[in-house]
Order: sequence, then C-alpha cells, then structure tokens
Amino acid sequence: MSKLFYDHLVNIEEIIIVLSEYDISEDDRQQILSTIDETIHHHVLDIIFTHLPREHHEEFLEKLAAQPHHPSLMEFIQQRTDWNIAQEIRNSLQQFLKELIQDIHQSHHDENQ
Amino acid sequence: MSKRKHINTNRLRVRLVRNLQRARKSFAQKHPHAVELLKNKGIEIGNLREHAKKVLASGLVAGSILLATPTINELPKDNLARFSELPLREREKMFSQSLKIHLVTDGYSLAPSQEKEISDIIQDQWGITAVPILEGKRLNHSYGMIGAEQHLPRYPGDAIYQHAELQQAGMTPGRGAWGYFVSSKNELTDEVIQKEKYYVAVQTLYLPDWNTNWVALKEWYKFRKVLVINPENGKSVVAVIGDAGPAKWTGKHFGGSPEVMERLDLYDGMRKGKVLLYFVNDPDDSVPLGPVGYN
Repeated sequence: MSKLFYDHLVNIEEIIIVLSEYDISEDDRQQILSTIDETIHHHVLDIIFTHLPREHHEEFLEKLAAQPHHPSLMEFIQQRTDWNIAQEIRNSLQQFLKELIQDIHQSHHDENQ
Repeated sequence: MSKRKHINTNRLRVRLVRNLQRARKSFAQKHPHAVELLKNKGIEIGNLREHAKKVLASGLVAGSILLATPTINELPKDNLARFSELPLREREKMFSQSLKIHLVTDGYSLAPSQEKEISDIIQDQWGITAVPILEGKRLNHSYGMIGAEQHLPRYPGDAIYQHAELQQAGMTPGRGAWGYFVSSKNELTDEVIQKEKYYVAVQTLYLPDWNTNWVALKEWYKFRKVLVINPENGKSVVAVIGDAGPAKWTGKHFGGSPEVMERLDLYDGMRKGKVLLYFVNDPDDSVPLGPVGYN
C-alpha cells in the first residue's frame, strides 16, 4: 500500500482495531477499508480545496500528480493559507472516524436484533 | 471457534457506501474545477493510492522508497491489537517515541543507564537482543552520525550492474576491510548477497586496543551482526559490519550501505543522520538481515 502525503494526520488504526473485534471475512474487511480510504481522500481534498486559494489549485494538483506521497505537499498548502490545514484535517477526520466507529457498532446491534 | 463478535456486514457496507457517495457528491458540487483538473491529469480520487504506487513504480521519485508501511492493509488479527499486531508504521512511530525519551544528550555520548534502557526497549518492542557491549567488546560510539557508503565488490570482477538495487550509488573501487566476501561469482550465495546489501562500516581503526590486538579483534568484528536504528522515525535494519570507516575528519561515526541508508529513510537529501548502532546477540544466527518488522 503506497503512502499519501497526509497519512500521518489520519489515525486509521482506530478503525482497524475496532474492525478486528468483529467476525469479518478478509475480502469484506478489505472492501470496507478501501471504501473508508476513498471517503477519507474526498474529505482531505475537500478541506484543501476549500482553504487553499483558488490560484494555487492547479499547482497543487500538479504536485499531487507528480509526488502524491511527498510531505512537502502539506508545506506547500500551509505556506499559502493562514488556516491551520493540518489541524483542520486532523479534526475533521477524527470526527469522521468517530462516526464510523459508531456505524460499525450499530451494524453489530443490527445483527443482534 | 471464533470469539469475535458478529456484525451485519451488508448493512455496514451500505452505510459506508452512502458516506462515500455523499462525500463524492459534496466534493463535485463544491469543487467542480478541481474535478476537471484531476480528470485532466488522469487522477481519480478513488485511485489516489494506486496512482501513488504507479508513480513510485515508474521511478519518477528518485530513489525514495515510501512503500513499506501499509496503512490499512496490515490488520491486527484479534481485538487485543497488541504492539506486534499493529501496522508497521504505527509500531515504528511508537518505537521512535520511546527511544527519544532516552536519547537526551548534548552530543553522541550515552550513559550506560541510557544504553541499557534502549536495549530493553528494543527487546520489548522487536524481540531482538541488542546491546552496546558484547563479549566485552564495544565500539567507541553506540549513538552517532551515519553517512552513505557505496556498494562493496563481493568477488573479483563484481560490477555495479550485478547488484540488484540502488545501482546509482556506485561501487567502491577497492575491497571492503575484510576483503572480498567470496573468491568468485560461482560462490555467491543468498547469504553473501544479503551481507553486502545490509552492511555498515564502523570505526574499528580507532578502537583503543585495535593496534595491539587487531588480529583477534578483526575476527570478532568481521561480519558481526548489528542493529542500526534511526530514532527519528523508528526504522531499523539488521546489518553486518562489512567495512572499516569512516575517517574521523568526516565528522561521521558509521557508514551505511545504500540499502541500509534507504531502509532507514536516510538515502535522500543529506544522506546522513543520527543512528543508534548496537550489537545483536544472536548466537543461533536466527535474526535475519534487513529491515526490522517485515518478517
């Protein structure tokens, strides 16, 4: 699995640990994690495009296309906005993951009803 | 019988897909120009990791290997989620944090108590017995600056194109401190290949008793197994002592093969960094060479 520039801001392990409590086949687990991963990409890029001034969007995307893993992408964004993007991503994803965990537990309750 | 709890996977999947669809829709509505730009660059948000993988595979990123740590692929098998079951990246992060607590020093000197605490952390977290003093032998530094070395010739006539990885690092014109690894290409084994891939150079020449006892010391240090740790990121490599150096004037204390430096994430940029270097106490030769945590 390749690394992306914002991976250090996402505590995906929380989900991994919660999922490991449940009896889920390997295929299902991969599919679930893949869906979560894609949702996270959207959340992160949404935050970036919301706060990064429009004139830098194309340059950012060029950098993203060239080196999607590179930590300098966060620096590039941070230097062009007054907003604390890293913190915003952390907060947003923390909330997202919290809701996900509730969804997972809810699916357990559904099974038992 | 499984002790894991049951879950309605279909319902969970439906919830997750609904979340994803909402995120996709919201993104497309808020940032239509970004969708267009992404499309022009041939990137789909859903395939971002796949794209990253392709970029790395295509070699556009000079030498920097960032594959390694699976973020969601490597999952704990039960709900205890012990350290050994966490994703490698997380384990390395925790390891690095633990080490930094004990690495408070003005220079490169560590007190025996610090060295011992670090040994204990290594043992606890990786199950490797790594010590600064083994059989009464110790290097002048257990913590120091490592710099990038070239490949070593493994046998007479060895050429850089015969090394599998990181050929751009080049090969030293002369042999390593212990001579060739084997006397001909026919004798090349996987073990020898691994030794050259994961070698370090240490300053045996500056050991206080080197000049008076070098015959015995040489035998002891030759291909001695060591653990090299980058405390900044927790990445660690088991290597052998394959060469002598670097010279004092360089300001460095150790040298690392291209593969060692790459696995420690020190291959790019300054090509040097502070590392811990401990002997591995491995009388049964059971600790494999290479990056720690992959086996």
